[in-house]
Amino acid sequence: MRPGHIADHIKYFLLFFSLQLLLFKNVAIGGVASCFIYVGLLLLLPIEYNTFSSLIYSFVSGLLVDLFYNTHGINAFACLVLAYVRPYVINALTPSGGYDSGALATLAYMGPVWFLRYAFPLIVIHHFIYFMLEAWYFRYIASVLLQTFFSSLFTIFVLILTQLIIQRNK
Amino acid sequence: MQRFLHFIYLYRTHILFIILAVVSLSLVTSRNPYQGSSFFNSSNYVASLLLKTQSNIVEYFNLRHENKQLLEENKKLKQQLKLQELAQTHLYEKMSDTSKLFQYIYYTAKVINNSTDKHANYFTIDRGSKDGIKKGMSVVSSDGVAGVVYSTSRHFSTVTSLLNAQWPIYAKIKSKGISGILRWSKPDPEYTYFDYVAKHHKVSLNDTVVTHNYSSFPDEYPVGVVSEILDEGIKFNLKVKLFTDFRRLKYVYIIENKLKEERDELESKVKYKQ
Repeated sequence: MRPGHIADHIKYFLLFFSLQLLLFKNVAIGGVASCFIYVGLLLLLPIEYNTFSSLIYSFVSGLLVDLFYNTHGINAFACLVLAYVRPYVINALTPSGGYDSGALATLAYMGPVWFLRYAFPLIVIHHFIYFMLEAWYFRYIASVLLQTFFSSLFTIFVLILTQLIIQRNK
Repeated sequence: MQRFLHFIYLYRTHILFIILAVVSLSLVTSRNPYQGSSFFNSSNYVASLLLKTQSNIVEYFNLRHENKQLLEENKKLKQQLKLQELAQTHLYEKMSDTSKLFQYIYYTAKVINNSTDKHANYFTIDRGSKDGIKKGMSVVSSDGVAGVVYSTSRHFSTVTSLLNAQWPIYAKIKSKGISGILRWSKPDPEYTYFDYVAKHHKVSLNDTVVTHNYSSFPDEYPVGVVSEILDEGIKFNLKVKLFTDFRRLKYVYIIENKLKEERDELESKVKYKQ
């Protein structure tokens, strides 16, 4: 990560965590759509960022959210899986000619089509694990799937919106 | 040895993933409402301080509702006081042991963090071990039962909410003495379920459900009213409208039962509890 990226990332960190803990913690639209915007932090890491550090980073940020949500490790585990799967998704989406060195996994850098194909599956994975572990029993699978679907839409909507707003102000 | 170290180096990300996954999953599986460390939940000092600041700001938007609730409560208390006076002047009951009179001590607290959308809901209050709060004390709102203290830190405590599918409590129907088990299930925070009511009982709508003295709550503390009777083959399952509005829970009372230790000690000699 270059120094400029680090500064950007700290900005995103402060923004996403304050949004998550002060606002979205208390929001569940229709009882099914919750937003986990802090997941965006892990998604917006540079494409070549090494998996070893991103695993530690995802674990710590998940645990931080668990602290406030009283969810005892559920977010940490969901984030961990996300960080573990991320390089495989990135590999699968390699454009012809490969990634530029220092490429960023952002909407502005990679374009909307790539970004959606990259972020949406990862968000769905995270949300499904979160809601499934939170419900704990398999008999709640219908409500888990419903929550996963609507919450994923909500999260990706907010993730794209925040990126658009931040770009505009640059 | 060298090859072993090389192997570890080669697969370091996978190994790290497995280690961290085991750590986080063991945290997940240890989430039992009856035990748990206060570090990984919101009674942790840093988390609670942040939540307290947030609740201090949001508080102002709710004042009108708070006032109304307090007025209602005052009215209720005054009525109770009058009844009490009547009872005392008319019945000259001889009191040889006054410890039962002061069995329950009330503490007040503010709710600084709350959730109603999960399967296992908890809330955090701004009183802790310093104020005499201990694990297992009952927590009630001005309208009805709210939960039980789950873990405490010095200044804060987390409370297992009544809206916790993993934490059933004993309850009964006030007028008829029918007992059963109260267990919440997702998603509606306004209703809970009163299960295992035998078919021969005559239950009717709008019966009041209160706490059972088998549980740690004071006897007959209000919980809610029966709003629907579900026929489940060999038993009834009653849908109960809760008196406590968990979505607007702001001030609660923590009840200390002075005779709890004595009772627990006695009961631990015989293993008939769950």
